[in-house]
Parts: sequence; C-alpha cells; structure tokens
Amino acid sequence: MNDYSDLNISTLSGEYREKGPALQAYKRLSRFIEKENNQHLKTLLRHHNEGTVYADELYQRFEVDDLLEYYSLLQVAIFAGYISPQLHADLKTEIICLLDNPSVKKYYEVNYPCFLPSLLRYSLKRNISYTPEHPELSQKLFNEFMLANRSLENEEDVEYFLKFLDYVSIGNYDLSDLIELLRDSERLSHAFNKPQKENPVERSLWGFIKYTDFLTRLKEVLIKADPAPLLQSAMWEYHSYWFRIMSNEMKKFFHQAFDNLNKAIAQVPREDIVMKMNEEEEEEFSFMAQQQHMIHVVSAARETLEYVLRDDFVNPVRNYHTSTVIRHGTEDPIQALPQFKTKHRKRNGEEGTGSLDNEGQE
Amino acid sequence: MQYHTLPIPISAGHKTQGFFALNGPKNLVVFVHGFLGSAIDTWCNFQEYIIDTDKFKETDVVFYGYKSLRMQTNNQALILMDFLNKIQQPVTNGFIPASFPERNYEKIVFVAHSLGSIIVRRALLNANQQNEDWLNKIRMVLFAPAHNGARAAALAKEAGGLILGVAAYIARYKYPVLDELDIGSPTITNLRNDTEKLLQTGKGNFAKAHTVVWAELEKVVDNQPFCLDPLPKLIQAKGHMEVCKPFSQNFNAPVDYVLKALL
Repeated sequence: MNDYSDLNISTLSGEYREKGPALQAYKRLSRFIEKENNQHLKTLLRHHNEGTVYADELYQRFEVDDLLEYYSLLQVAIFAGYISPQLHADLKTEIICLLDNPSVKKYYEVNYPCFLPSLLRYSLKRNISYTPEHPELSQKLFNEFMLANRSLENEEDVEYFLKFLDYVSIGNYDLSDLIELLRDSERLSHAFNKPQKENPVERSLWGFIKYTDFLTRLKEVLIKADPAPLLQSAMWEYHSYWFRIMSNEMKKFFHQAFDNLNKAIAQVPREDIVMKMNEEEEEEFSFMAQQQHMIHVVSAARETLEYVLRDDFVNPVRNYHTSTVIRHGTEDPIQALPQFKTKHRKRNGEEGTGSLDNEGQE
Repeated sequence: MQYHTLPIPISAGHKTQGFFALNGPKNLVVFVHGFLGSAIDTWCNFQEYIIDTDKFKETDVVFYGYKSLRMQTNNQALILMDFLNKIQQPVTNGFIPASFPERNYEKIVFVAHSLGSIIVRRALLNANQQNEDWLNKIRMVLFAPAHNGARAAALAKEAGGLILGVAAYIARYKYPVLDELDIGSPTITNLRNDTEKLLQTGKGNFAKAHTVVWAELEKVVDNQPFCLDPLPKLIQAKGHMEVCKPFSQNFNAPVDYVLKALL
C-alpha cells in the first residue's frame, strides 16, 4: 500500500473538503444530525418530485453534492492505490456518520443514485481491504483523472450547462432552450458569433463545448485504463450522474447538434480567416484543409460522446459491489443495494428540480 | 513508488498545477505553454515522465497556465513574475499544505514553448529590475521559441485540436495577441533590445537560454539566433507543436533536455 496515504488524503481533503461548498455541507449535515433534526434533513434532501426546490435549498443541495463527490473521489483513490482503504479514525467516523444517515443515504442511493458513496460506506463499515490492479499504472491514471477533472473546475459556462442538465431552470431558461439552440444551425452560428454571452443559454452552449472537451480528455484516461477495469469503471462512475442525464436527455440531439456545427464551419467565409495574411502566407495556407481539420475535430467529438456515454462502464464497479456484499454480508437486514433509476425529463407544465433566478445565480 | 504529491491546483495564472516532491526538494521546474496551449495539454505526456521516474524526485514541478487570447504578453509577464516571486516559498504563500517543509531551491528551470518564451524572458527582465535574488538560480529551456516573432496565420492554424477550437473558429476570434507576435513588432523588438542592453553590461546571465530547441518542420516561428543564446538543438521530423511533447519512449528528447538543465 502507498506509504503516503495520509498525505494524499490531506492533499485531496485540502482541496475538496476543507473549504468551499463541501465544508459548508459537512457543517450543515453534522449540525442537523447532532441535533437529530431529521425532518429538516429529510425535507432538504427530498426527491424533486416531492416538491420543487428553490434558491437557498438548491445551493444547500449543491453543497451536499460536492461533499458526496469528495467521498466518491476517495473511493476512486482507494481503487487507484493512492490511499489506504483503512482511513484514519476521524475520517472514517465522519464518513460513516454522514453516509449512514437515513436521509443522506436516501439522497445518494434512491433519489439521485450514485454507487461510490455506498461502496465507501460499506467498505469502511466492514473494514474491507483492497489491493489495486496494476498499482503503478493505477496511480498514473489517477493523476491524469485528476487533471482531466481540473479542466472543469471554476468554469462558469460549464456550471450553467450542468445546472441545466440537473433540471434547474435559470431565469426563464432550462435545458430545452439549449437543445433548441443546438438543433438550429442558424441560431447556433449566431450564438457563437456574439461578442458577449448574453443569457444562460448562450453560456450553457459554451459550457457544453467545454464539457465535450473534458470528455475527450476523460476518454483518453479511460482508454489507458483498459488493463484496470475496476478503476476505469470507478472513474466513469464518478461522473455517471451527468452521463446518464446526457444520455437520456440529449443523446438523440447530438447528431443534429454536430451536423449543425459542421454547417456553421462551412458558413465561415474564407475572407474572415485569411484577411490578416500577407501574400506568401496566403499561398501557403489552405482554407479547405483548415475547414477539413475542423470537421475532423467535430467528428472526433461525436465519437467521444458515443464512447463515454456507454453505460456498460458501470458493470465492474456494480459487480464488485455485489460480490463484496455476497462475501461480507449485508450491512444490516433492511439495507438493499442502490438501485439505478433514470429520471425522466419533465414535460411542459411539470416542475423540474428547481429554479434559480439570474440575480441569485450571479 | 510515489515521488510527488497528487497534482495540486495553484491559484496563479489559469489552471496552474503543481507536483511537489515528497522528499528533499532542491529544484523547481516551471513549464510555460504557448499560444492557445494549456498548462498540461501542451506538454502531452511530460507529467507522466516526471512522476514515473526517480530522476525528478528532488524537483517540484509546476505547469503554469494562462489565457493566451485574453491579455497582452507584457501583462502576462507581470503576472508570471508575481507568481515566480511567490513560488520561491510555496508553503508560506499557501500553494502547498503547511505540513510540507518550506523550499529553498538550488536551481530553477523554466521550460517554455513558443509564445511562452517571450513571456518568460520578459518576466525575468522585470524581475531583474526588481533585483530579485532568485535570478541567479535560473536556467531556461526553450522549445520552438517565438522570441523572434511568429507567422500569425500559421499560428492561428494551430488552433482547434479540441471542439473549443472549432467554436472559436466559427466565432472568428481575432486573437489580438497575434499582432504582438509579428516579426518586427514592438513586443519582439523591445524584448531583444532590452536583453542585448543587459547582456552588454556583462550581467544578466539569466537572460541567456541554457538550451534552445528548434523543430525541423517549423513553419510558425522564425528560427533565428537570439542575443547570446547557445547554438540551438535541431529535432528532426517534428513540427512546431510536437517538438516539446515526449509522446513515447521513442521520443523523449524533451525530457532529456530538461534533465540536463537540472544537472
């Protein structure tokens, strides 16, 4: 096992747990649990079908999501051999205490299912050890995984896109507006050409573009992780909440969106690209080759989405969880494995997860 | 075997990342990318080589990022200089956890690609004006440096390995920084003049590159000698963007040049 496990944990927690939203969530959840304020916690962490979630509550739930992401990251780091599965006592107590709370558990197992926190909680309660597959490769992959994830951090455009994906409406806009924009080549071209991104839909468009580039980076990591399927699966599962929604809500529009990107490329006039060139440069420059290159990049992005949105990536983690439970027994008699459920997009007139107004957002 | 921390995000520049040595750090290497590059992607597998081998085990490695489209190069140089002052004491300045020992670097190597060379050179000249004492520890390894200017159109063509590049193409971004890179532009001319003036006084050893690397298939930058820089190394069958990327064991010259600068 890695000699620097504690140091690696402190590096991760320094970034993802001891400041910002995750810290707020930890404080809030601890306070509720300590005071046995179960009803308040249950209300805060309800499924959005049980009642639309507005501004403050939404932010508090985003904070909880960040804390759960940190715990998920710890589980990925365990699979990578970067940290020991036997976490130090304080952290272990914190995780079990929070993740075992019925309302919190329902939030990540039933309302918005994700495997990794369940796996971490189960492994800690049962003191399950783990020996990583291909330790050196796994550590390298974890580094690359972290670097790929960093490309998303502090990107406001991406936050707009992910909020839309999370069924949040901002002002009068939601995911359906982004989908409409992607389906309309003229509007798409126009939106790209605006000097300022004026509304949440235009920001989410650039967010979608940046998220697609993140997927390209992640795809490279996943391909390199073929010899370590469990780690590969865990890295995919870490982002699976978004992938499942993208798959359900957007996949059928992707081809049209990418076709429209190609149309927009074709509409860029030659003189706009070559206007700053002198004669010698213009002679050397092939406008057509440039266009072809752009179309090739779009085609590669299309393939990336097809690759990353495959849901069979989850199988090794799911199978590992099942076999571990078979070997070590269930946590308690009423505990079932987390069930994956897909959320269905709300039709017109139905309520989404929640809503933020623009002022609140900024 | 683990020799470095996990990548630690550093609140300087744009998406700057640091890998800090776990034991006995003596050296610092700072990578600075070029036009439309990014902190990590520009260097491809470089970070893998660094964390994979014990040859960098006493070296902190920082991949510095900046938004190359947003700001003039001289402004970028001021920001980089500020970062360089702070990174001399990464613990005190909160870049790494307080549980790490503070650093007192013996050598600092700047590795720059293309436009990054202009920004690094200008940042060092600025630091000299402030009499920063760390300047006597530094060495520069420059890949396809743009310090003699670049062909704007050829550089613009390099945009777009990712879908963000496609969006920028559709948006017809005009990349104002490209004007500054024109051969003979004030940015380039002043950089050369200021470096020459300094070297004529017999000082400013830091302003001479340790290693300059040119690409055989170069079409972007003007491959000309710069002041008192050493004779460049020519890497065959590589273009402007590939010359700094150690793709595989078959091409690890970029890593070797950085290691030599650490000796």
